[in-house]
Amino acid sequence: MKRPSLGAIAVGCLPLFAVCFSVPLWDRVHPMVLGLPFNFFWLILWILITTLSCLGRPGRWGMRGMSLPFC
Amino acid sequence: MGHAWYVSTVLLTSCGFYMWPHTFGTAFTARSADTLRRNAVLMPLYSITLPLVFFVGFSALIVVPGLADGDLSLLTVVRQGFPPWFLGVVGGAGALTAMVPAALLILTSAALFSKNFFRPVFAPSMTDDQVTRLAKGMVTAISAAAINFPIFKSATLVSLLLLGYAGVTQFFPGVILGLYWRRASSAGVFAGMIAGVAMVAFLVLTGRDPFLGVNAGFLSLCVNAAVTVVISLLTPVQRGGFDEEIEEGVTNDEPLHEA
Repeated sequence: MKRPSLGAIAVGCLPLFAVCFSVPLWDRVHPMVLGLPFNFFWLILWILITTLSCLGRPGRWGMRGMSLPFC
Repeated sequence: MGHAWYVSTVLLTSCGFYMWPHTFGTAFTARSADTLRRNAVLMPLYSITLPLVFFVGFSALIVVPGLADGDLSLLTVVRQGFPPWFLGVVGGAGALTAMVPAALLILTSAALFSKNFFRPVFAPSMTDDQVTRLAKGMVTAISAAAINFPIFKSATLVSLLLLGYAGVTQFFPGVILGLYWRRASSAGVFAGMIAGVAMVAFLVLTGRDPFLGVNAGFLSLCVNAAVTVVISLLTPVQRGGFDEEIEEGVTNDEPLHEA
């Protein structure tokens, strides 16, 4: 099995740090964004970022030729 | 519940995600590693519907402030704002969304318990018919146990979900170490799981969850991993593992992982 590169592991860990360990940094109600409390907005934002960033190199893992909206 | 609880709970649930009986089976029978990767990438998109649950909660805070039972917020809001027949539609949809995953979970657990645990461990001479009968009995038993919690134990649905995670995540050290660490032994994995589950049961049943501000399931997971490692190191190296089969060429008809 090919080991993932350090860069790939770092990128993979990014969402975990963004929504997990960094909680004291963004756990606040203000500023409200789009009518949502800031911590709630932050979590929803990272759901999107996680998926979109993982789709970055789809050809790498057998999705070449698949018709996905983000590829 | 502070930030330590949040962080430990997120770690617990992310470790436990693929450990549920129904996901566990499908993950290990996936067609290829790529199928799993594709799933892992697209899965977060499904959770984009989860914020809708929060919106219901926020609306309930405004429409029916001071609601005693948070689990009833959706039905209460609908009853206040819509005609009665619509309440029935929402209730029916809710029942359906509860039953579909529950059926999957209960059927898989019952079948796994009878076929992969009870028969090999307690009664190797059981026929397939008897296993089926036992599985059917287990469906009833598991359903009854599951219904008991929300109705009689006055726990919220979210705390029940986290309780489930606390238990089911105890498989995690065994699965991960079993796959990636050659020294892992079955004695170590069993000892770790027993320690983890015992600790979860003790902390939860004695009302010590969260313990010192940290999720009890996560603490048990750490103990579980430590016990697994220590006991594995103390027991002799096990032969006939997965790695050796690959090296001997038993499963080399198709590459398991792309190079």
